[in-house]
Amino acid sequence: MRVLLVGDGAREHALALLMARSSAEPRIAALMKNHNPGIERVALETGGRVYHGSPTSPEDAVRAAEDYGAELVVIGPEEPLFAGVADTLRERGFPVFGAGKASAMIEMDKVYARELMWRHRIPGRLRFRGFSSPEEAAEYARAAGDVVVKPARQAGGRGVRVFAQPMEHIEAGEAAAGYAARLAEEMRKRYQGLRYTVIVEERVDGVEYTVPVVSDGETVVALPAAQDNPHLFPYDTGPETGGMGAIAGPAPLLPFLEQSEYRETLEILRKTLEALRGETGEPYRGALSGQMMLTGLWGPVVIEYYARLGDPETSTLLPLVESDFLELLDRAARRRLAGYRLEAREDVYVVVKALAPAGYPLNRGRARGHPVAFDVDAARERGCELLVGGVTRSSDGGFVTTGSRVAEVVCWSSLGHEDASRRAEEMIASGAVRLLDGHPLVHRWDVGSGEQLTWRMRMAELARTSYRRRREKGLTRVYDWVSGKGLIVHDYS
Amino acid sequence: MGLLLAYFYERDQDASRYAYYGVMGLRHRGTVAEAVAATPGGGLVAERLEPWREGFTLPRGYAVAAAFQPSARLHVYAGEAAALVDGGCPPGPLARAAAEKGLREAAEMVAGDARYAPCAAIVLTRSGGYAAGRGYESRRPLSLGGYGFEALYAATETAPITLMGGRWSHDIGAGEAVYGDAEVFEEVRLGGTRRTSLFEYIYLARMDSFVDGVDVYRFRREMGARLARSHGVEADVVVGVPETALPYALGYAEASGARLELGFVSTVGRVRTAVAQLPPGERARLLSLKLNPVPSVFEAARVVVVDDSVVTGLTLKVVVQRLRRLHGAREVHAAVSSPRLVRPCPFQVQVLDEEALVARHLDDDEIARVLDVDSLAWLPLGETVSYLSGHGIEPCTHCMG
Repeated sequence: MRVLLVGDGAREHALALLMARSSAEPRIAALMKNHNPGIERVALETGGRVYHGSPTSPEDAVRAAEDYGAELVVIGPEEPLFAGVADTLRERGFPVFGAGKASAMIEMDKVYARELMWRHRIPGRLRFRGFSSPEEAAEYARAAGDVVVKPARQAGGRGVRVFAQPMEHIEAGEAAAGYAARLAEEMRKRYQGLRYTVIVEERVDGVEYTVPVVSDGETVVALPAAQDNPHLFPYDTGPETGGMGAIAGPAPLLPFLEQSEYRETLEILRKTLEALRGETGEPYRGALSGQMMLTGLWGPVVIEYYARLGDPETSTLLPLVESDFLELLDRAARRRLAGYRLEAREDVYVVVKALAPAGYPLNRGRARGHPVAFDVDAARERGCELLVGGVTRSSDGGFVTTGSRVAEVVCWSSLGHEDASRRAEEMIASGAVRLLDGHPLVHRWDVGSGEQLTWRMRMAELARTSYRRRREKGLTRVYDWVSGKGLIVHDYS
Repeated sequence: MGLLLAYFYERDQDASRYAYYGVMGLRHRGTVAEAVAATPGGGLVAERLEPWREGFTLPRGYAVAAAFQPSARLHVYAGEAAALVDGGCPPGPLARAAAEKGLREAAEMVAGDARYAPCAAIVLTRSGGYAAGRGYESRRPLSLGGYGFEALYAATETAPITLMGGRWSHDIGAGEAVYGDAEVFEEVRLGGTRRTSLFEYIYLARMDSFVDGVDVYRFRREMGARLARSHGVEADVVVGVPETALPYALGYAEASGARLELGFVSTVGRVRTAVAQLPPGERARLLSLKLNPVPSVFEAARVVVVDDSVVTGLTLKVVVQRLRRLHGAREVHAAVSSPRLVRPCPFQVQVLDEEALVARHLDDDEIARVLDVDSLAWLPLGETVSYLSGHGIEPCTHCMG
């Protein structure tokens, strides 16, 4: 089968490897802006090729698909979906794995996602307000107290600030107001024609996890849960990133996620897909991921949706998935998913660690342009996989960093996450990924460690005690009393 | 007697707004502190502060660190680097190493150099780097946490981290240090023994904190229970001397079967008489204002008074006299929720005068006679050590015996 893969990051490298195992003997071509040597290698090994172009350009995608005679197009990242690449390709008759532009709004526009959830009373909701003007955003944030201020448009997982309160003594209101106004300005400059620039949401605490599903518009296939680590530094400190590592397994759960919570999350995703179908009129052919938090308030709560598979969560699928993954993507694209069964290994613990050049994400200029070397074969000899991410070809034929995460190390073990984490550390220490000019690489040694798992399990247990109690008592409402305005009821049922 | 760090990754943030509450969360440890801020313009500004004084201020900057005297000291070297060291070690050489050789060397010095073995330290540099670590036989604890995606926090105990809106997420081990800035985070692990001061658990820390991973409140309740078992007296009523002794009294009452009563009301709020540095007459006046008995609790009762420590014995003596003289207690037993304090601390975690330590000079019978109590029990040292060793800590018990 001739498959065109759109995108050039570590997630697409993982997708290429997953598809390459298929009995359909795919020949994988890739449309890339940055010349990712990992993806190129899979392309060449399967008898495919590389197309240079912009993954967000519908024209480039059509040109590549036509030239290649693609029988399936698989879109990895979100930006091509926002740009309507999937729609244009479908109009030209190509089967595409990837949500249409209207459906991808669920990720692109955070206000739309929240509105959809409230309109359809999908569980896992949070209170929110969307703003277009900096002044209004500031005004609201000042009074709202316990809030998270985010860009209203997906901005590569950046720009989220949490303002602490119950710590009312910290006067988070003023800080939140100032930030909301600045962010609104910044978003207005960066993106044209946004309905809203800033979203202010109620703050929740708990344990985060991601559950992805694949849909053909009717049938939904659940994939194993994973946990992403958005902080740049160990011990959950440091600036927000696109994800510095993930753990998964034993499939489909996580050590701190129970079966009932996983099932509820799937139900949330199913209802979201139904609601989207109703509103857009188009069948959702692609992946939808719930970036979730297990909270003391309502149990599983949606922090945000991805209209695609997550990065680095996708990498955890490499050792977990036993079924023919290409068949899954292909049948979703052709709306023939009914009857597909995903087999995933229940005896494997997976740890993924991302490596980023120092400077990412706050100062990408300093993270960009460093010569980089990989040893993919050494990784395999150690029973791990090395996925190449933010790397491109330099003018002298070598490879340099693009300013984002450079690579992901995927290790697994039947003994536990700690063992998988130890092996990933050994691989990183052995120099499987190196910046040749000595610029530092950042990674999180704590991902998958015993210390981390203990913390996560403890937090999950605290959340569980609290939300189960609420449910036993049948509580579905939150009450505020504002002097002069009276009782305000928020009904989450 | 404590350290604090609030380090924001983006320089437009004002860390002093947050650190202010961290300093308040440490001020049970002392009346004088020193603080330093790294400013967006690339400077270090140091100030002395008195955190009990109304409206105290901190220097402003994207990173702020503070050290509570006397055990913790600040040194700024040539305007380039500031070192804040807890445990009596000299901050000068560390500040100089950070300024001249860099953060990694400073982190290695804290974790591996014999001069810093018993201590904990925080470093800030003019260019925006930080380090935080503990010596390889560290007596002084240090915990890490984060504030959203915005800041790294460190503090001697965890309550200040939560008071600054953050979440505690790691305890730095002995011979371990972290360092970095907004772009990197590195760790030095040279190994060592957690010799965390027993005095922290017994007395110094707040009961809403964890210290080196140990829940202070649980420790105190459990030690209260063990104290009751080793004391073995028949009593009707257990009272604790506020504030520190209350969780011990709770544990004592639970284990002994005697009922817990609230025995005292303070007229001066929550003052730690041991922390307030006062002349003896003033101290006695403060004590009597702080410990006014609730009369009906004591009438004709066999009472166990749980106190958190006995230094000179003055507090307990004042209390016992009153209970006997004015309130008709039938028996008064003293249960001290600390082992005997017999030596000053070479790491300055407490700065008690050797001459003033009653347990150093008198045996238990003599002390009981001085206090005029029917029996006297100390928390067995072995119980504290075995409890903490279960948590991977070999506590420093130098001042106790």
